[in-house]
Amino acid sequence: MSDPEIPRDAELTALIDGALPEAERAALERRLAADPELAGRLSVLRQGGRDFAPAFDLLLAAAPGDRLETILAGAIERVSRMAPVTGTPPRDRQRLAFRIAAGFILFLAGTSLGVLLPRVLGTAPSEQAERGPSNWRSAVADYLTLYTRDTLAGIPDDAATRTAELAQAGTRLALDLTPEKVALPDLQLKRAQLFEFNGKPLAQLAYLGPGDGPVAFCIIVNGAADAPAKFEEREGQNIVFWSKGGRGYLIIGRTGRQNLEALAAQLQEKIS
Amino acid sequence: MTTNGHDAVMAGLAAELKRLWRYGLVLSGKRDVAEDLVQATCLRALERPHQFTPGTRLDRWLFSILHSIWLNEIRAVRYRTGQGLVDAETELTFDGAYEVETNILAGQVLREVNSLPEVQREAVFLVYGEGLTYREAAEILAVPIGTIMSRLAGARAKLAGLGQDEPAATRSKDENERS
Repeated sequence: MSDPEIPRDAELTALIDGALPEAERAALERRLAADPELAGRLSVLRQGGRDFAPAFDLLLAAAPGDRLETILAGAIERVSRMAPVTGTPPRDRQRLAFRIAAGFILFLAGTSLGVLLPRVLGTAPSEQAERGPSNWRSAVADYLTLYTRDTLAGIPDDAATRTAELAQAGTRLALDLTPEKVALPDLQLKRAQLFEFNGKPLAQLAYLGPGDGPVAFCIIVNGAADAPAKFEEREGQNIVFWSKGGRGYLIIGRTGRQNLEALAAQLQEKIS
Repeated sequence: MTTNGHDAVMAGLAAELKRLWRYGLVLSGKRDVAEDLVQATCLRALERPHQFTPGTRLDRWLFSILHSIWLNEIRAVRYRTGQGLVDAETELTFDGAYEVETNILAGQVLREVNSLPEVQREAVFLVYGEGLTYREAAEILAVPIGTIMSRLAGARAKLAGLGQDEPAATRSKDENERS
């Protein structure tokens, strides 16, 4: 709808809100004094005012504080376990997890310390025992549970950006990564990111296809002995993982086992 | 002691959760989508604290992240997948559960805000609800200041029409006088 009233209404609204510069305000008020119709319009717009702030405060009071703190705790834990490398100075990176936890604990000290502290600092004993250098797969699977189609769908498909991301990841992994080498049938590479796990570089290549949601191909430099591909399930997701040349590889997604094993076979062939 | 982006984000994020959720609720009209928006905003902020400039307002930075996620990832996908926008009329007023007697007027205001188009609702929330200046709201939404003014004017015009059948006593006059 094109409305000739809109520019005039905008100016009148700014007057009501006290947002007009002094000179413009004075000029508009002179016009209002001489123009009853304009003054009438100002009156209409004033009637469109409401006591907004107390109404919105009602929503603030309804916010689920405990749930939001749990959500933040989960985000902190994931990020502290997989601090992104890109664009962050190394020294800061090493301290990132500590800082996140420390800042959050300070906040909690005044609120619900007892409820959330275990979630931030401690994990179940069984989970802790698993979280050794070899269990990067658990961290990846955990992180991937956050992904939905929406996580990746909004990323523009830009070949130059993907090539640059792959080159950066490849440098850290000492591996020649190109869009051709990591291309997978029916899947669009949406993002290549560099992380660290226990001080070891870890790359995650995230794909999106028409069907089963995000699929990620991850590579870590962990010095593991060569091992053939195996299948496992973690966090409700299927994983095929293998080791070669001192690097661990995995491909993970909610797609079927056979499909995932076929994708893994293609990647094993192309990447060495 | 020096302060960098990491320290500032870590120290301040927890205190902004409820306001982020409220922004998400105003945009989506859905409590669960609001929670998803808070989660995605937290993750992005924690992953990119170096992009925050110390000395500037953390809440504004978080708001622009949330807005961007809503616009580019959640709402955009809903459109593409043919789901359409969520029905904003469903939950913003919480089925009257919070409308205890003293809040009847506030509940009425929320229903009216809820009837506004999304862009007007968002501008009203940021400027009249959060108390941002036109310029601050424009920066968060990445639009010209004139667009903020037009959206607020459009909201006022519509609300004035809604208010015509009501007794004048239920409305308040110019609630925001800001510099």
